[in-house]
Amino acid sequence: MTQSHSANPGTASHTLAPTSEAAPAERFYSKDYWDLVFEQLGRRKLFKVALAILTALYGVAAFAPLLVNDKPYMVESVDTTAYTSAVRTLRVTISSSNRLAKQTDEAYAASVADKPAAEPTRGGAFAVELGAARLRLATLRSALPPDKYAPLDEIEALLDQGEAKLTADGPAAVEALTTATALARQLGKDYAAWDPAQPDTAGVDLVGQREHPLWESLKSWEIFFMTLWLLTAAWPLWNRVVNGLVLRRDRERIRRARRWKLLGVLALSLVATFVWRAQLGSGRSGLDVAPHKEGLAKGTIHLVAEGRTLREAQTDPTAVGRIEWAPVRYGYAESTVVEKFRPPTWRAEGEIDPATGRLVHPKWALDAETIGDRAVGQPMVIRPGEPEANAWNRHIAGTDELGRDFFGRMIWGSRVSLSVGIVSALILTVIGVIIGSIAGFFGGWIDTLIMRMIEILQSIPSFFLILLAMAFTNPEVLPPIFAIVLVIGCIGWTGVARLVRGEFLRLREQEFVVAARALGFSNARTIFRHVLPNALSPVLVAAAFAVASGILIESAISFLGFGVQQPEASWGSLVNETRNTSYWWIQVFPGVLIFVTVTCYNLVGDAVRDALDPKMKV
Amino acid sequence: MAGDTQQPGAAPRGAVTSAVETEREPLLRLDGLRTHFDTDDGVARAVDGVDYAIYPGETLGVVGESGSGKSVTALSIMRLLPVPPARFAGGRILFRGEDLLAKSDADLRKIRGNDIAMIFQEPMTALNPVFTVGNQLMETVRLHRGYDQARARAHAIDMLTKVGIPAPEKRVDEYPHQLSGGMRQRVMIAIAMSCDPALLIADEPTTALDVTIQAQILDLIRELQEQAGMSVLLITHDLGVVAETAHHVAVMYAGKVVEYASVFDLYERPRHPYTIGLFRSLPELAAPGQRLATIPGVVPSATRFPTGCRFRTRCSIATARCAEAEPPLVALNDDQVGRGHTVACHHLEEASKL
Repeated sequence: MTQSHSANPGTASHTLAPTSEAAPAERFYSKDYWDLVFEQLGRRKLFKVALAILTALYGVAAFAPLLVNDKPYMVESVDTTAYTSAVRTLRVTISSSNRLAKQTDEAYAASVADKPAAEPTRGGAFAVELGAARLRLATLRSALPPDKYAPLDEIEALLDQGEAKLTADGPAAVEALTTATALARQLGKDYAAWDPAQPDTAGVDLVGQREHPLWESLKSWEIFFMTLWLLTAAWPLWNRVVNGLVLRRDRERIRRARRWKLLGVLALSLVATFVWRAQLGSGRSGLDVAPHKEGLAKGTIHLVAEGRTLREAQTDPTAVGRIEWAPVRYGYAESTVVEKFRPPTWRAEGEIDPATGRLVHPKWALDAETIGDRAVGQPMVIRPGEPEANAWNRHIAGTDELGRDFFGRMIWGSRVSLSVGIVSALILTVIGVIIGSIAGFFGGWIDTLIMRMIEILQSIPSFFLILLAMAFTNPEVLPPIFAIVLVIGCIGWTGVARLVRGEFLRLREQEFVVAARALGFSNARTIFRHVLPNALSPVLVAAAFAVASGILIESAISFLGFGVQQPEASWGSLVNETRNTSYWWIQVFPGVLIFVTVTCYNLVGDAVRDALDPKMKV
Repeated sequence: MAGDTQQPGAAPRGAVTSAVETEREPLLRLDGLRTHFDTDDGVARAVDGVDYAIYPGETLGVVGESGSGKSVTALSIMRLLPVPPARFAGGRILFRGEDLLAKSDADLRKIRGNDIAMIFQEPMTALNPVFTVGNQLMETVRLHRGYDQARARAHAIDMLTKVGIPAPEKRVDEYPHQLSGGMRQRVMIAIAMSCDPALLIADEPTTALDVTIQAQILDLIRELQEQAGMSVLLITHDLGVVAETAHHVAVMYAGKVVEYASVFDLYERPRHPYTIGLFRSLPELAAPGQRLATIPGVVPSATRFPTGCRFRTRCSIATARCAEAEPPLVALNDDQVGRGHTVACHHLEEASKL
């Protein structure tokens, strides 16, 4: 009996595609919502450009430590100073642990009674001393050739013995540690390092070791975002491979796999994070950057290839160690006083006289003489790894007031700016959507109450509300950057809430809302699953604007000193490093970045709004 | 009159099957239902004492002008009216002997969509524009029946086949805007029928459709009703539709039922002046060259119903008595079917001469 209906020409077959019977799977594939959305987005050139720019910006932010860093990626070296100090102090640490072994618990407790910083128990203090001794042994081991390990092994064994017997057999522990002290004293005499500065003196020939300070300094959450970015940016590539090989171009399976791909990207990023953490730990580089650079400059740290000796390195070029730096070799807080407010070095006005550290360009030279703007007569020191004094790429975006590389600061600052925008927009959108939908869906006194609340909130100038909130947050409890995000999120939701409420008032009258309730769906399900998706397109645009305004509000707050604190940077706080227009690069570069980001967000929001509207694709 | 519009296959159902099952319990009984709205103009008594019953497997047609309270009654049964401003001022809605007005929201949600389903007038807006047809079909059975994704999808395709949609495997992934009006109404029916409801409330299901599609949709509802044995509450202002589809008819005017009868009785012997007026104004009954008869005036506003009989302001035979006392529904003994023919009028004698 249903046959009679399907045979009817008026209702049934006018939209059926006249395809052949050969491929039923293809024939019955109708493009689903997301197919249409992606197709629609693909047609927009501006959207693609904006998305590419944003992706690049987020990539730079995620990979900032790899791009701008004063630690080398890899260094093969021998640090004679560290070695010498370890040799000299090994005996001290062992003998002080020995002293602790001789003491009773009570005597120790009495001796530290008035020293609150000291270890409270004798066992704890002993462990600390022993740890210090083992650290020194490790330093020695890493710099010595393997055939010199014998005394080290012996000392190590004695230390283990002393530790094991500390509580059970005090005298035996003391005996072991006394022997170890004697060995360490002997070691101090025998194992002095050979110093290339005095090539005639005898000494142990040290061996180069390879370190990866930059990699080790990466934190595991940084790894998460790096992997996430890589997988997301490479989506078009691997998506094609997965669709072709795994899903065999079956559009039905591709459609079903979409969610799994998304989850897969997140899961892989998490896996990468945990693997990294398990392998390398999180942000535990032992390298202290300033002494390291100083050592390299003074020559107390010698570049020696891994496994080769210091003596070989003096004569054989292949034995000289390598050092690999990040593209921009400055720390985000590394300052050079001589280079205060140096213009971008690819311009003629950025040229400097290395002997006096003065800018050569007439405009700046005059400034320096008349205003006394610059420390007089200081020669420029070029630290290891840095470009030459007048190389075009020394400071491609100039420097700030303290001679910090501005390009590096902008890259590190992008992390704050880009994430502040997104996170605050996320918070305010979620709050706004929830409150707005409740007001719009239920109407009546709930609506009235919420709307009056919003009006009260909106009648207070939000910027001052934010400042007030910032003034009362304790930066030690809540870092300013989180406080900004939270405060923007908790105050800025009113606009979104009003938008959503308006949409709900419109949609509430539509029959599908009544129909949803007539099918027995709960209020929550009706609101969030049936009405909300219809109301989302204006919200998306509002959210895109909120990202932009979040970035701007953050910079304004940072400018007033409530936001990001030095030496950390955000684009907004960088703009406000100075208001002197002669230092144009300070305002122009971060300003352009903010402008570009905000524009891109607006373009993306606009395109997404159009594409998400299913009615526009008939 | 009614017999003319009946199809041969469907003709005997009212007369024969119901007559032998007089004692059956009604599936749904409205017992003096009053739904009022608190508005700024005062209390709007949109539904003010409605009694009717729907028996298992039967169709009750509810007819009346716009504003007579037909849809509000239907929405009251489902309790879909926003409270406030709506307010249930009295009466009971007995579904399988249980009062729906006394049920909690959670209990009611189990009934909605599962035992009582509803289809709406505007297929254009009754489907959610952002979800595929399949998505909307699947959600109901997943919620009420706990089906998994694959089973729900198979069920959705099955339902689309049942309502006569060609290439359901393809249609199931399409959006409402990709379908024609008739198809959307079929989808609406498919959604409503997904859980095999005992009662289907169809609120002017064909008003927004063109005439050929109307017939198809009514045929479809009737076929599905015969297959599933469900009851249908058909709300319409089209007397032709009622004649073709309903077993019983309730004529509503100004928030009240003025006449309730089997479809035969009503079409053969309409007794209420309002019902008579309605039949007179059918274009196909008017003689050629003659002006079409109309009922003068409009339905009074729900906030200001006249005293006594509410139809008296438009009634040609109204007397002083009509203004004083509200006529009760009185059972007549002329019915063929045995479920009663009830009319609310003081002047039945005069009315019969109209």
